[in-house]
Amino acid sequence: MYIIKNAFKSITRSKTRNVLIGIIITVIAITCCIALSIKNSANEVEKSYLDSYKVTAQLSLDRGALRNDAKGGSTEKPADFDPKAFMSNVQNITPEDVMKYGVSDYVSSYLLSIQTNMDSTDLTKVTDTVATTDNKQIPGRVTSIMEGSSGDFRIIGYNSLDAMTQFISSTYKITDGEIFDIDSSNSCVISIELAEENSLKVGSTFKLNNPNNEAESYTFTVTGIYEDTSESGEFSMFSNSANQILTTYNTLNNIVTKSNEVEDSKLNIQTNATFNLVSADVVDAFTSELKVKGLSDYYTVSTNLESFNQSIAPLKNLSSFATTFLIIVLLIGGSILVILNMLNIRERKYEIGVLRAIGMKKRMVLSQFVIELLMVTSISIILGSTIGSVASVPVANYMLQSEISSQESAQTQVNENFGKGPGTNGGNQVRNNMMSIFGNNSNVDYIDKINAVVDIKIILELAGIGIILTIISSSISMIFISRYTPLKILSNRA
Amino acid sequence: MSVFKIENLCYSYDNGKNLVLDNINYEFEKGKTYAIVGKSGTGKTTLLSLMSGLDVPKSGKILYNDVDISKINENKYRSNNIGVVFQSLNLLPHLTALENVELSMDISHVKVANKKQHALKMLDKVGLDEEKANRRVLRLSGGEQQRVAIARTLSYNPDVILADEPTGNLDAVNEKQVVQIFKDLAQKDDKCVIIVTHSQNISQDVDYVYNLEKKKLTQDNN
Repeated sequence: MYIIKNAFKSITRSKTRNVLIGIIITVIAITCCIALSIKNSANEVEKSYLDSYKVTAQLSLDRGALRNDAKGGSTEKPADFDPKAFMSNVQNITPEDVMKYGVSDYVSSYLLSIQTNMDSTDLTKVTDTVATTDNKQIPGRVTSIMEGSSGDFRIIGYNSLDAMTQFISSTYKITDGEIFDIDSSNSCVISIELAEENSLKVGSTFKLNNPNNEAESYTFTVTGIYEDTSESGEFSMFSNSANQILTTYNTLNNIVTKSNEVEDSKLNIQTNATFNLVSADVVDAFTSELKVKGLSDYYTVSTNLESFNQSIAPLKNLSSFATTFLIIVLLIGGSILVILNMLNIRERKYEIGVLRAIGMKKRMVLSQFVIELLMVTSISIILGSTIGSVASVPVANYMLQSEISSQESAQTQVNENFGKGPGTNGGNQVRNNMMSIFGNNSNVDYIDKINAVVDIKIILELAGIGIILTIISSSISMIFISRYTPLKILSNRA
Repeated sequence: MSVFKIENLCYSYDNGKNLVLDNINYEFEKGKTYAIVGKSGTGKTTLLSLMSGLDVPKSGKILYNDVDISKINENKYRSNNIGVVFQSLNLLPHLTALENVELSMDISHVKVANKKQHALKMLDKVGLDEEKANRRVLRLSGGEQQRVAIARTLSYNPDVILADEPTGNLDAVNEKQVVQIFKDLAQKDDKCVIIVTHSQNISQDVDYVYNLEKKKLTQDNN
């Protein structure tokens, strides 16, 4: 007890020395507090964002691997290379495959859509000169590459409304009627252009024919009419939404199954699937499982984690910066404290000698010095964490905004390199589409705010830092006090 | 009965090359005052350091109540059994006279009802009133500081008091008073007081005078 009393007296009567040590520890505590709160908050935000982030996986053909195998590993194609024969060896993914892949512990749900092309005797397809709803001419509207001669209308069947991503992203919008019931049969929604071209309304019916067998026809009922609000919907060399007919998976699957009963009337289908994974951690395991279930090596599993990583990039950079800064502050601060403590011990050598000479045990002398430092450290950490807790939120958000600005300016530079203007919607639409297709989306939804509050965890971490700093800087006292005898100290002074 | 006994004590510096104390044998009793005199550099302070347990003999023994002090815990020995008044006083400058005494009591684990009162009493015994007791030691005169150093040793009631040149920096009046304090401690409180000194005045006032000369301790026929 008397050691604490003596330590307290020593602190209060050697103000200059202890105030100096206190200021240094307070500065260390403030910076550590801010850095720790940024680091912890960034980690928490990243974790909760990842938890709430719907990680999806899609299967895509690895064209690079295909090309490479087609050439047999050489740079030139073999003279007898038959691309059709080669491609026939590459198995297409069927809806059955998707269902098989979807039954997995790693998959929470999956979205399946199939599409094929059909003809119609009832409908006239929308051509490149058709007027829009406001009778404006849309230059350059072209039919989809997919359509070709095998059918004028593309019919797409979805197994879930969630699979209709254009509606979810507001690219398509129902302007009349409503979307079909996913369990219904032969219900559909059509584009406003197709409806106008053929004077169709909600409740109208029309027939679609198998292009390989005109006698095979199916009647559809219109439940809704949608508008494609995207600019790319008005002009794209890859798609023409006007001649699309959207229906349920079961409806289209029944048509395809029936058409497959006769070999010559078989409809070619294209299957698209999106797997909603249970978490980001299972991507590798899911990929391995797909290979085990028979997915061809020519297919790769791609996820939307790239977008996630882009969103949290500034946050991660900030967290990394905070960690580095924390380490630097601790190293520099710790070194300064050690030096100050060395000077302190030299200055108080006489006092140590006296205390030892009048019978104070070494460990008690050391305890007094450690307690003194702990007292100063505790007060400084309380002060530092108070200031730090006030400053951490604005400082963290300011630094995050700077990081986002830096990321955005880097993205702008990339856009400019592609000939796009600083605005994401400016510039040439074709290039925008290309950028989108190649996954180079400049509209990254950055996390722009973190709540870097100082909580009990940070206070405990700060206390831990304080104890470590005290131990490190006290180690000098420990060495000195254990090495020197009181006689040596006092005779040196004499 | 001797409280303090030196047997065949030898001490040397520089790994035995410089012999300072050679086969010293003497006994010290309670209730007596002793002066160890000698020229500078003859080893008086070394002898006191050995007796106070701050240094260890190269050979021979120092017995306290017939126990070799090397067998006694050095901290306990210095904080309870003997009191040392150092030549340089060794007071803590950031503390008051009272706090210096109280700290010594704390280290010695003195069990008294009221530590402060006890410390004030010790200071009063050496002639320092409460006002001076509450001054930082640096604000006291040399003589007053000397008294604080003595009061500090008295605070835990040791059997033996060792004093190294206790009047070295004092004027004649103060010297007389300090010597009287030591004499009273021996006569009234039954302490064994051993003073290392150059002072002729002290030599005349103590019961026994030992002369340290040519590495040997001899009794003066005082």
